[in-house]
Amino acid sequence: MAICQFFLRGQCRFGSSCRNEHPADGKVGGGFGNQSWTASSGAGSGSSSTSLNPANFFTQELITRDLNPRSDKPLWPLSSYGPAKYQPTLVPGLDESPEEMRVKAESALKAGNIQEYVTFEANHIAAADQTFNNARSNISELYQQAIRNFHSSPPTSSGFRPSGGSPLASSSTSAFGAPASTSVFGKPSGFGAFASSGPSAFGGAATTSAFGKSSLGQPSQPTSAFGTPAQSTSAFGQTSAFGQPSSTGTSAFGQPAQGTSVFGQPAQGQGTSVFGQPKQPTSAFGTPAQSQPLAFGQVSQPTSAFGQSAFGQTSQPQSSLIKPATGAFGSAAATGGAFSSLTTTPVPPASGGGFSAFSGQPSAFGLGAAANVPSTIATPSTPPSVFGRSAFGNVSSTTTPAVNPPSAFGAPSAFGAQTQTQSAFGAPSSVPSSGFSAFASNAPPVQSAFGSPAPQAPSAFGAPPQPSPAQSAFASMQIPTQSAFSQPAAALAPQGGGFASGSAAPPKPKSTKPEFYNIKSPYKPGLDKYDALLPENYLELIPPAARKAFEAPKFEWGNIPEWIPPKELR
Amino acid sequence: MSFFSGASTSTAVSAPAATEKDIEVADPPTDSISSLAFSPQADYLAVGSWDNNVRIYEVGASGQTQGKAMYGHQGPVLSVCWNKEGNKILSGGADNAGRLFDVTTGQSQQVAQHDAPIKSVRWIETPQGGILATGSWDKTLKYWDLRTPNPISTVQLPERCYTMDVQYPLLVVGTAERHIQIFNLTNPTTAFKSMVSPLKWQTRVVSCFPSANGFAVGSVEGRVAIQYVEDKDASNNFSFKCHRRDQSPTQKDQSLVYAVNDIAFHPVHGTFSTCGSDGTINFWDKDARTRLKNRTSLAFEPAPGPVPATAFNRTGAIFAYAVSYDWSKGHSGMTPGHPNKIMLHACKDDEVKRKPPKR
Repeated sequence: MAICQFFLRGQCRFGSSCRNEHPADGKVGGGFGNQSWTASSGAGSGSSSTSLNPANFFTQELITRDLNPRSDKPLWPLSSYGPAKYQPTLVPGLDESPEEMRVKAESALKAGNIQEYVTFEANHIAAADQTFNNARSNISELYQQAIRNFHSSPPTSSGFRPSGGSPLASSSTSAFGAPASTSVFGKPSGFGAFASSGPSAFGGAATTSAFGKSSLGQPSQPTSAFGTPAQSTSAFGQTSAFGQPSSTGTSAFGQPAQGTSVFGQPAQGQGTSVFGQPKQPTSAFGTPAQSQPLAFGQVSQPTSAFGQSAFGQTSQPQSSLIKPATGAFGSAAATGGAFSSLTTTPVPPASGGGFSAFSGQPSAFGLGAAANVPSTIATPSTPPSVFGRSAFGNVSSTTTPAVNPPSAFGAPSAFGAQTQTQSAFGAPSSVPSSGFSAFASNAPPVQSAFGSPAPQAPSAFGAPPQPSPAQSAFASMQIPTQSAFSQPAAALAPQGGGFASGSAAPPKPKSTKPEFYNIKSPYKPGLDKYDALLPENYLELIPPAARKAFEAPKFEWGNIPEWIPPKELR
Repeated sequence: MSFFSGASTSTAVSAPAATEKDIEVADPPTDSISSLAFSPQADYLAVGSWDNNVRIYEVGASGQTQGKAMYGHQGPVLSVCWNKEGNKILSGGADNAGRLFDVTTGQSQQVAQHDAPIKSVRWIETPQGGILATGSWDKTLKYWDLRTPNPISTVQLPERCYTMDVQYPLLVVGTAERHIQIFNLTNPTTAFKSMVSPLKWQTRVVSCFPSANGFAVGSVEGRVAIQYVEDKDASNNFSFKCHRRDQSPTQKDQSLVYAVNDIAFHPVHGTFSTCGSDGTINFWDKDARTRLKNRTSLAFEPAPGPVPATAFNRTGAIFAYAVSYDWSKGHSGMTPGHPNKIMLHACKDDEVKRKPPKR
């Protein structure tokens, strides 16, 4: 079904009787948001290179719905299941036709032991139900497997598959969407490989991952599974990372079972499979939902792997990759998480590039809108939010100038969580305080936004687009995200970018902590009409604790007052 | 289900009187009906049933029916079909045997053998003569020349054969695990194309277009897919949901998903009918992609039980459908009082004629 556009805006008048899909989360391209990184996000955003975007055929939510006896699951229990038309059977071995069952019953009846048949039938049905219950509880794995299958046998329009299987337009990204698990990124090596050279990580060493092998198996794919020629939009929909023939596919994506599929796009020549999937017997992914420890050896890495690799790649000259990334990363928090994890890892400079790659993709981080974000960083090319803080840290330093992953904002988690907000900061406007709301009202998120530990997120915002380079980043942001931060509090309005700046001043290596206390407040009397509404003696009215907090140069972590900051103290 | 497009429909056999109600066939089988087939030359209806017998009825001008003959198998009969001249009936069943019944002599003999029950039999009229094709749960498809006891050739299928249909030169086999094999009968031993079903769940029935350039696939998930054989027509492929019901009148979630048991194409108009385990029958126009007017007698109340098989007669004027238990609920659904009948419906034009293109 199509994603209901009204629902995404909170305006659907049909509600549960709506004929369109209401994604569970509010993310853009919800159905895809979680699963498919493809920029196209099924909604047809179009970055997916071709119709071979698995997201166009099935999504995790669709699979969930299909297997749900309360919605789309057939009444006949003994049936195998495939996720979409022409797709290979995902839940195999269950097929029993009613006639077959009946023939058994008839023969049992004739033999006089009908009870035996009855129990046989009950067992079969119970086994089938059990299988589907398992499937339902492991939807993400099932989805990953489906992605892998998809790539190993890309669907052709007519459904007839040439032996080679058409290049799978990478869209599979979904693989990534699901895992959300620990980032593979942790492995610098893996990623580093990518970042540096195309072939790297995935194609190379990674081999371990099944993908490496299988992927190569993938025929043709000249355009790289990702559908993009050479640059390929990368599995995620972004040309890069995966699109790259060399792409390391294997590693990072090693993520058990999943991931690889995304990359499964063999086309890349390298096939290194990681993405190689299923075709190859070896491919770890061949096994249904079997997580094959991928090159990275980390099973759970999935997200990170991709983040890394993909980005690592992106940083490459292929600037083009940057852009699509959004799609891939758009996939829900998972990606963000992926990146978050990244931050922890040393992430070699090269990898940093990886992030930079992401920066283009802001969406990856759940921003969804990411694409817009880019500007924040103020760096020429840098795509917005890489939220992966680390991304920033690394990114900026390494690689390609173009990518300054500005958005990294470090708070991957924060953002991951937020997701809702398109704004990089993701912080819902819960914060009553003016302006700060942009920062995710709660202290923690705020932090994340900035990536920098500095809890005083608010201050960050408070700080007008300070000259500091970081600030400029925000200032430069004209992107809508800015508005997110701009928050009603006019104070920030101009600075909306302030957040951007908060994000680890791109130019500096991530370690920088914005010097918030030096930032002058953007507050100007009269700018914010709400300010006038504050009682005159507001300063006296607020509890002393809060007042003290305001007066301090920094907010204490966990101690951010929930009162509107008094004008005087801004 | 199976029906042979009446090549010679010259004889204007008047359809049964256009009554509102459908006519019930007299003296139906004693157990569930598995398949129906009209003769391509006259209004004779062959009915295969789980009571191990094949019955042949003559359908009169005003719809009255008369049992004409009956022959048996060693096990339940799963499929029946006629040869082109309409003088032989072929059937296959759970006794792993295919039998031929000669209408003129009234004798039956075994002509085919498999290792597992024969699920589907079809007569192929090739330029070189007639051949019987049988698909079985032993994962093979065999071609038989009736004069010799051995098959002309055997084709390996990826899985058990669940359904098969022929419209020369197209032969389509649907097997378990959602495989579909397409054969070009000019080269009948090798699959022309092999694909995975366009539907997500178990294949229940395939039926070829009278124009032989495509086929319809029905599955257990209440969905039908229209599939063209040639890649160039692939853009016309589509699928649609049907035979689904809401869980309750208030919950419009269409979550009761019934199987599509049979698809039958009208020999003249090219429209088709679907029938399901929910007991409803619908007529569809695949080119206009719409449903045609509901069968009045069934539109509002579904039949009192599942409909496992349907068939058009050679002119398309008579539509026969069976109402009997199709095992869709397993053993527990087999209640003694379950209806078991065959109904004949006189087709009205607006039910079966194509919708004219609107623009």
